[in-house]
Amino acid sequence: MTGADSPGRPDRGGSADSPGDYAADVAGEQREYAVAGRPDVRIHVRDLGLACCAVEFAAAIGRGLLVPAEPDSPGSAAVLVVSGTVTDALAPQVLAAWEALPEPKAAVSFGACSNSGGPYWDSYSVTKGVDRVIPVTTYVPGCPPRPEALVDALVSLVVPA
Amino acid sequence: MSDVVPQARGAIALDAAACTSCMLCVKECPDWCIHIESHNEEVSEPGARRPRSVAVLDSFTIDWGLCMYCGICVEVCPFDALQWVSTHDYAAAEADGLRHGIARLEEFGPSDQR
Amino acid sequence: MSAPPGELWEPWAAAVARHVADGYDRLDLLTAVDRPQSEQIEVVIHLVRRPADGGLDEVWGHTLLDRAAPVLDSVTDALPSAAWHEREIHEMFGVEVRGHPDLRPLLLHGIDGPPPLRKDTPLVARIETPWPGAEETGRRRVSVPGVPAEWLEQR
Ligand code: SF4
Ligand code: SF4
Ligand code: SF4
Repeated sequence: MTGADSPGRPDRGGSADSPGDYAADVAGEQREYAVAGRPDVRIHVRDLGLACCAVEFAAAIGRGLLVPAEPDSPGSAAVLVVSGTVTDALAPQVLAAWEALPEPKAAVSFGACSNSGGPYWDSYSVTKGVDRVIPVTTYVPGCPPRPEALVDALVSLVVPA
Repeated sequence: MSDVVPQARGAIALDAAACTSCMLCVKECPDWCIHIESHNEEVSEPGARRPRSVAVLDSFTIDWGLCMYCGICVEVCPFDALQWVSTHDYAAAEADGLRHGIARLEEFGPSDQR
Repeated sequence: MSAPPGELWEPWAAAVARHVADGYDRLDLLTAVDRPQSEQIEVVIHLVRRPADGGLDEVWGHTLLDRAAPVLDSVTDALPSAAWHEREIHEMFGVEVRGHPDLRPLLLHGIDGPPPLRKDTPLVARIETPWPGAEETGRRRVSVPGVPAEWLEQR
């Protein structure tokens, strides 16, 4: 992005061939969450919020279902929640965000877009499921799914239903 | 399962006995995620002059991995065979596990909404 | 679909510049509509200004391009914020934007093929996926929603 048409916009490392370094944002500065009231569910959850489903992730925080994770909790697994529409243009960044997570780790596909393309199943630009990019452990249905569905899926990663 | 508010668009329950295999929901679904197979059977009833042809539902599948929860199928069904329920805890370990047939769709019912 | 209100602005760039000079210097919308029936691409702009006594004045302008070889004059001289919108029109509708400073891809990274927002650009998934509604009868040919017959010939 050149200065000519984007005055005053910070340069986030984007170029004609790649969007900004979103993966670094997700892997680096992003906050981590745990399921409220479930110390037995030892996970650190990060949200890769790509579209409206991310609002439901935020709602899970807003309603106290997810709480900030303790920074040092040994034995916890990293969980990447992909909430929203994955596009072919962004797919490399999604892969990079996944690869940047430490083992052990799991990915949750949250919502129809991430599961299959959802409402954009016929789009020229939308990836037909994030599982074409990264391995998915749990697929949560919904457009969007409820925050409760997210919490249930997160718990079931550790405590099978 | 966590409690959710009533009226949540969690899933769509099928009442297979009410479904006439009319295909309206299939045709109107914008995501093309309902699949129906059916066949016709002749039923002779005592006293009737000719046997009646009835559609028999062989399979009815909704792909929840694709469904956008728009409710168009529920709206267009002339026989109220599809109803919203608030159930949401059916995440799956495989994308294919979100394809539900008649048995699972019936298990969602009866509707907790009106 | 009916067109938004407003007049044809000819010549385009001069008309936009005149409105900007007239205080309509806030760009709200600049996009295009593919109109295959009339073999045109319509470009639409919506400009607003805030008069000193409050309120909001708005104005809509249109121009029509030849769909076979659409060329649009850039308005970035008068309205720098139009640059991204013109880049989008360029890649999404296949419109050449004359005098634009930088027509690199904006949204279509690594997506080749015909301009996606032309109405005759096939949606591959709709061609490859069998329509479940067609399973009903072998006799009557049902038309598939959102899929023109020409696309099906590509199956
Ligand atoms: S699944 Fe529905 S709610 Fe979620 S990101 Fe896609 S369109 Fe938005
Ligand atoms: S809710 Fe909408 S997308 Fe889902 S099966 Fe019904 S019509 Fe199709
Ligand atoms: S619209 Fe209703 S009756 Fe018709 S096929 Fe669908 S569910 Fe069955």
